[in-house]
Amino acid sequence: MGFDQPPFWRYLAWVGRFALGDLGTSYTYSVPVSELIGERAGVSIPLALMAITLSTAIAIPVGVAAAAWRGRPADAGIMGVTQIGVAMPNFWLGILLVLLFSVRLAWFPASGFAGWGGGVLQGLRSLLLPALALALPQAAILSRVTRSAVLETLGEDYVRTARAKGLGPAAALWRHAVPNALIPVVTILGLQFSFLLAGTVIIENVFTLPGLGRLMFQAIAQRDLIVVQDLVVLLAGSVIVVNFAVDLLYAALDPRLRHRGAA
Amino acid sequence: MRRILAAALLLLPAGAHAKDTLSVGMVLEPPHLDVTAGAAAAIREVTYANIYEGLTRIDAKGDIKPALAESWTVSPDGKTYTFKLRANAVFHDGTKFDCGVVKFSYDRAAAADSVNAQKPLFAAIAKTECPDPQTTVVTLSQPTASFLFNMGWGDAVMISPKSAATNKTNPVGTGPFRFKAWAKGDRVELVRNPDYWGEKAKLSAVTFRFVADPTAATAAMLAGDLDAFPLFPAPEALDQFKADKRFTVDVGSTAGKIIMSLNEAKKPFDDLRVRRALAYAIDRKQYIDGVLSGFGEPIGSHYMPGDAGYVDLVGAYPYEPARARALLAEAGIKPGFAMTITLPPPGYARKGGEVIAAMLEQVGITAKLAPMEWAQWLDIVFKQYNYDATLIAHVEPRDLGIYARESYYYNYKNPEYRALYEKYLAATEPAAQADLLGQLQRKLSADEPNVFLSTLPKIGVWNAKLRGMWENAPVPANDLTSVYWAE
Amino acid sequence: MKPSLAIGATLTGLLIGVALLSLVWTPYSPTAIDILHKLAPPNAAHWLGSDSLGRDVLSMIMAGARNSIAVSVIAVAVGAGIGIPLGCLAASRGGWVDQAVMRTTDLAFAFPALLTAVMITALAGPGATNAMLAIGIFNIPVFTRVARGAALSVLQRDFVMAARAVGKTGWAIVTGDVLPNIAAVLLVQMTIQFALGIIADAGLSYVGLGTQPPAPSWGRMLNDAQTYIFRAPLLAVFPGAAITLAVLGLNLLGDGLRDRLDPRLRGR
Repeated sequence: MGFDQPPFWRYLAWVGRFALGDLGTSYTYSVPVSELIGERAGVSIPLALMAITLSTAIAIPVGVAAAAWRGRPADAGIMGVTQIGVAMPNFWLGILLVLLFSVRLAWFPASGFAGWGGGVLQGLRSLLLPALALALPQAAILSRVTRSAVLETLGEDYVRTARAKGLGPAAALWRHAVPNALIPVVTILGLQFSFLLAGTVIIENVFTLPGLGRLMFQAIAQRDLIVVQDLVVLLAGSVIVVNFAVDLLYAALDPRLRHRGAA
Repeated sequence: MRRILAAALLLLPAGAHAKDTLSVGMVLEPPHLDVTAGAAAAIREVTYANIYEGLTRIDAKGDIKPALAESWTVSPDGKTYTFKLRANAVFHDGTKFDCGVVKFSYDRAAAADSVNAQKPLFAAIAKTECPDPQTTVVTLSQPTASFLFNMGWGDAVMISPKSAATNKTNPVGTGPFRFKAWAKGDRVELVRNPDYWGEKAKLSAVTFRFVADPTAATAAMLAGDLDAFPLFPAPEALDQFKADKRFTVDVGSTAGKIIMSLNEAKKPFDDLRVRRALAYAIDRKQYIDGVLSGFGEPIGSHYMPGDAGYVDLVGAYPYEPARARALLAEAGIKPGFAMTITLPPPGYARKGGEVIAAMLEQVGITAKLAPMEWAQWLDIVFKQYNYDATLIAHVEPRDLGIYARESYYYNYKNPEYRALYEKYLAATEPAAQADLLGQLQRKLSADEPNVFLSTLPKIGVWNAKLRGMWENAPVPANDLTSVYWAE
Repeated sequence: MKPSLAIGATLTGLLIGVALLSLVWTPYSPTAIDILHKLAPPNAAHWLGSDSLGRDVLSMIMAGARNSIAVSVIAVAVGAGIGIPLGCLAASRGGWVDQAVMRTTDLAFAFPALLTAVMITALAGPGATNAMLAIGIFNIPVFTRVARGAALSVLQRDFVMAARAVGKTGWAIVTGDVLPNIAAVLLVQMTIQFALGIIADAGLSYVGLGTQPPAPSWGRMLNDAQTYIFRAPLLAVFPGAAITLAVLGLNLLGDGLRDRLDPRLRGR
């Protein structure tokens, strides 16, 4: 194990092995850390993806609707609800969802993960409540961003010109305002990824899901430091990768940048 | 909206059908699954009788039953045991069970480099011989009355020579269940062994799920994610299980004594007045009601009510905060005195700490609570003796001897007690023994080295349709061999 | 005054008022147990009911407000105290100092804040002090960035140019001209981080790493309540509602302040 080496050399050795893709061996389970992380990622990544998907699927229509109804009671209502959504801690939302769907209605499991062995549907079912708990507060933020982005593009000259040329309000909204509003929305989505990752740590504890977050807690409790180190670096790395991907997507979505690319 | 509802309905489980699988909750995950290479109770709770079997086995009542030995005879001098082995037992890896396996298993456990957690159990074995493949003769160096019981422990199970090295991650035994998979941090799955030598298990598959959090355990049981939680960690939630016809609640007893250990090597806990003040300051009834939901009996020393020689000393320190304050003042402890109570993970400690802190506040003591994981607790409290006070259950039966030790984590060093204990060990007459046991308990109560709180209940919750679960746990095990679902 | 600012100011005032009041008075002692009357529903004696040890929920929520505010305020102070000077330094010096500071904050942003706070508190030991520091550390890059951005735009303005022209330099400009002009932006950021701090503190306490018992905390109340979710579901509702209202108030206050202080954004 090299425990006779000074800590700094052990650390360097760890960095070196890590760079080569060798994550080391877990002290608690005496299995390769990559194996542990692989198992747990099978819960956390689908959970994060599901949350992002739900959040986007909810936020964009709601945000666009609020923009379309600007100034009307419906807009005020949506904005009020999203303010509350932003303020709600996701783990409390998780508890409330358990209270409603598991305790009262018994539709969904209150905790645990059914595994992918029983079919994709079974697995997704046990991730739905935690994904919702993660997604709703994010959706609240995202729909506010969508609304103001759409309003901003609606106010821009080319949209006004199109309207003056006789384009209907709905067409102006969907053909011009919404596609252009996607740029800030994607940026925020990328930023939210980091919040989401942190959120899964707590949410996995609310629902006792065997994901990366729980692995982190267990590793910390057992002083399984190599697992902790590996996880932190991997999670930080994934945030960097996602932010990079967002930059790429940003370029693809921005018509000005796109034209420059085509030229 | 309707489409969303339809999608939600699709996700609901299919209609009920005759159930033959079981998911069992456990608080701690085993570190590995080789029962011959570790002391963790969690290993036994998964594998004992389910995966591994020994020559004998211990049943739900704590009685010795034949397992891989069909029958046995004992020589008149009590030193030679002749076992007749099952003819048709086969390991999950295909190895045939015969006397060679017995010899391999016992020799391995007793070997100099053995990592068996109960190596002393095998010290009595002088030799293991095989007159024929279906017969084993074990010769002991001295008569050992508990030999058949000892060979029923998890540590004495039969191991296939072929898979002995890999049992930690892929356990192989002769039992009615086979190991299927282990998702670390989450679950271990077993499936029925179709080639079992005896009556086949009624359950086709078993999942052990590890749920440490009392809240999550409660939710998982109530939601039906788990069918059984034999050592349920949330006594506070029992009322709702009792009120719910879907569940059976089983409260048994253990040999566990919950105490607040005090470090006598630290001031002011070396002062008898301070220790007594703490005893007067704590209302055991409130502790039991609030923390154990009433399941538990108050204790007055380190001894279980009902054990031989028990004397009732619960009344020695009634709940009298005024007296506690007076004693503290006498000992020169000023109001606002701060002490730290170290708390291991179980609820009797974590929740108990809050209750006791509130009670100590009433007598002017500020208790800081320091929750920690087991590994840390073992290191700081149990090894380094570096703590003020801690809440802990001692689960070993009849362990008055720990107060006579040279060095132990609470640093109670009392020559009189030690002399009494020596006398007790030497006593042969039952009456004299009982009398000395009484004296030992009285001495402990008078010295109050630790504050004795309550017995530790064993609380199990399982589905009311489940049959064949163990009601008591004479050995750590979740024996599922005869568990089934009633219609 | 816009309604959101009014609501935000009221809620925040209420939060702080309750916390201050809890220093001198709560209906019961928030740590006093009363096993006989545990898990009582809201009634005349206990307005919000009692918890699993018979403690008064209202008193615990009041005292919890105090702890929550203490953690967040100190976390904001740590973040602002270090982040703002760093940001101003980066903006006024430029060059490699700017590069170094900004790349460091980029790196810090890559670590999910709450996740790393979990790690810090878990390794350094659970407790309110470590929670404050852990949350505070992740406030630093936020304040650095905001301060730098705002300071850069102020540094471009004519009056700073004029100050430079008359020989004012370095810290004199930062403290005399820049800080007063970016104070509004920073104040808004402080309310936002204050709100995030309350959520982070609740999250850490919920998983057992924040404020330790017997000191009441909203997060731990929620954790405890989850055990009794079937018997006393309201126990899980009140502390969560307290967190949500506190955060809502601060967010609305922040939004309102931004609208008032930053004319460019008015009417958005």
